[in-house]
Amino acid sequence: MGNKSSLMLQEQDIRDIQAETGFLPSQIERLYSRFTSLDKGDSGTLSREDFLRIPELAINPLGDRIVHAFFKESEDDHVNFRQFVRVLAHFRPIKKAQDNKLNAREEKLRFAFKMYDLDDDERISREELLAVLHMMVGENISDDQLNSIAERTILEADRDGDQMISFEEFCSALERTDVEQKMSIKFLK
Amino acid sequence: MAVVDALATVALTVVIPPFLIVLVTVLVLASLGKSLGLRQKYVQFLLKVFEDGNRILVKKFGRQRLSKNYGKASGDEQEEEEEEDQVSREVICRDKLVLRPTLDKDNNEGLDTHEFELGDCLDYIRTGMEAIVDDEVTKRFSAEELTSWNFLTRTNCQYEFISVRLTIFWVVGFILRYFLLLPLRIIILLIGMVVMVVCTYIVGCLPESKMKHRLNSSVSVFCFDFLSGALSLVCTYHNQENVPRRGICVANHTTPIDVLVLACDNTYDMVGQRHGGFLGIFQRALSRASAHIWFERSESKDRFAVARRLREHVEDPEKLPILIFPEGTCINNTSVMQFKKGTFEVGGIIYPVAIKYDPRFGDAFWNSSKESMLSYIYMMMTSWAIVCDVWYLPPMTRREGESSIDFANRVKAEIARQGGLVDLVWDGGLKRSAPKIEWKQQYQQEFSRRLKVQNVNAEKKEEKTE
Repeated sequence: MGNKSSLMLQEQDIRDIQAETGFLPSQIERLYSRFTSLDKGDSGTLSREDFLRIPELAINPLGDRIVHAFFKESEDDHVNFRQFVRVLAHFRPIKKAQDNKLNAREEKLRFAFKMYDLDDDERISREELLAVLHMMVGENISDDQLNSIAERTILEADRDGDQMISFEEFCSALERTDVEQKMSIKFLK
Repeated sequence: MAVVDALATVALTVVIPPFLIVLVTVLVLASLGKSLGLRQKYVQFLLKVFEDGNRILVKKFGRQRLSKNYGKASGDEQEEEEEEDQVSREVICRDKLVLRPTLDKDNNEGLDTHEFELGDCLDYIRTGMEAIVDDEVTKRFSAEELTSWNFLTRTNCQYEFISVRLTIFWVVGFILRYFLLLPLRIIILLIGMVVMVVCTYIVGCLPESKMKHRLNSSVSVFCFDFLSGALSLVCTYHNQENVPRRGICVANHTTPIDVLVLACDNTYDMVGQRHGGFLGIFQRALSRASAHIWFERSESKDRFAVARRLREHVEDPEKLPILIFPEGTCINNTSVMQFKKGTFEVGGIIYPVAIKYDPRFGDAFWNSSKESMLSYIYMMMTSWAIVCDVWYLPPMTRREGESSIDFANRVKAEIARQGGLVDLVWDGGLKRSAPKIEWKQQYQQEFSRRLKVQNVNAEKKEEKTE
C-alpha cells in the first residue's frame, strides 16, 4: 500500500500490465510503490543512479550488468514503470495454469544470456565471457587463468565450432541447471 | 493626554489579564498535565477515533491491506493475525542469498571448489533483482508506511474523499490540529525555552556542590517535561530499575526528540557537535548548569580527542551518565543500524535503552536530507501527538577478549530485540554515502575461492587468497 502513489496508477494501466506480465493487481500496486520510492527525483522514471543507490545492488559483483538489463529497452537512459515491470516479470515463478510468455523457461534463459551478450549479437564471444568472469572474481585470479577458464567453457559449450556461444548452445549447456528455481523470485500475493 | 491615558488603561485591563490567564493556565496545565494523565486520555480518545475511521476504510479496501495490530513491541500480540498482516505488506519472500557487508566467515576446510559454469551467475542475478524489488536498507531512511490511516494527509492523501464521514473526521481533525493545538504548542514552546534558559542560568550561577547537582537534575527534568508539552509527548517508561545513574547510556536514534524523551525521566550529560541557531541556544543554556560535552566539527573527527574526553567524564563518579547515539544518524525506527565502535572502546558500564515510537500519532522520524529542522518541528507540532515506549535494559560491560565491534553488536542486538526492531548490519551512513568497495570485493574473493583453477600456478594463487 503506497503512501501517496498507489492511487495514481490508473485502473486501465493496471489491467494492461496484468495482461502483459501476469502480475496480480495487488502486486502491481506494490511494485509501483517501490518504483516511486526509488525514484528520488519524482520524475516518473528511474536512472542508473537510482538503481545503484540500493546498497545491496551496489555491492553485487554483477550489479552493473543487472541494471543494464533494464536499460536495454529504453532509448533515453530512463526506465518507466512499464519497462520496469516487464523486466521483473521474467522472474515470476512458472506456474502451469498461468502460462505467460515473459516468464517461460526460455525467456529466463534469454535474460541470463543477455547478461553475457553485451553487444546484442546473439553470441557470447570470449571477450564477453571474460568480462563477466572478471566482474565475478575481481582481482583474485590472474588474467592467464581467467583466459584458460573462458577457453575451456567455450570449448565445452560450442557445437558449431565458431568459437562463440550461441543462444541454443547456451540453453543446452544449462540443460541440467534448475533455471526455473534459480531465476524466480517469490512474489507474494 | 486623556485619550492616551484611556487607551493605556484599556490596554492594561483588557489585553493583559487574558494574556496572563493564558500564561498561567498553560503553566499549570503543563506542570499538572502529567499527573492528571491528560495526555494519556487524549491519546486513548484518538485511538478510538482512528479505529472508527479504519472500519470505514476496511469496508472499502478490504481487510488484508489495511489492518495491523500495533500492540506492544515485544510480546502479547495475536500472533496469527500479526503474521498474516506482516505478509501482506511485503512484496517478496527472500529465503536465499542476500548480500551484506560482513560475509559469514566459513571455515577453510571443506570448501569444495568447482569448475566454472555458465550458470554460476544466476544466483547473483536473482539476488540483485530481489534487491531491486525489496532491499533491507533504503526503506530505513524514509518514513515508515502505515497500513491504516491516521487522518493526516501527509501519510495518505486521497483517503479523505472516500466517504462523507471520513471527510468530516479529517476536516475536524485539521481544524483542531492547526488552529487549536498548533498555537497552544507554539506558546508552550516559547515559554518553555525562556524558562529553560532562565533556570539553567540560575543553576549555573551556583558554586559546585551536591546541592547544585540535585537542583540541576530537578530543574532539567522539569524544563524538558514542560517542553514535551509542546509536542504532546506521551512516554511510557519500562523497567525503571535499570535507569542509568552513571557510565554511558546508548540508545537507538530516530530524531533529535529522542533527547527530550529520555531527559524527561532522567538527567544526562549530552555529547554532540556544536550547532548554531535553534539547537545552539539549548546547547549553551544546558552547558551552564552541567558538564555537557560539545565538540567543534573539526575536533569530532579526531577520534582520540573524543575518546579522551568521554573517558574523563565516565571515570568521574560525580558526573551524570552520558547519552550517546552510536548509529550516528537518524533511522526511521523500524530497525537498528550499525553502531559505531568508538563509544564501546571507552570502557565503563553501558546502559542500553530502546526507544520505539508509535507511528499512528505522528511520524517522529527526521529525514535531514529532506526537511530542515524548522519544518520538521512544524510537522511535529501539527501531528496528533508523539507517543513512544522507552525500555531501560540491564547494564552491560565488555567481556574478556571481546572486541569492541562484537560488544557493539551485542548491545545492538539487545536493543533491537527489546524494541521489536530489525537488527541490521548495515551502516546508517549509507543514507548519504555510497557503500564501500571492499564489500563487493569480499564477494568476489569468496567466489574466486570456490572456483577451481587449472594452471600450475593454481596452488600458489590459492594460498595467496586465503
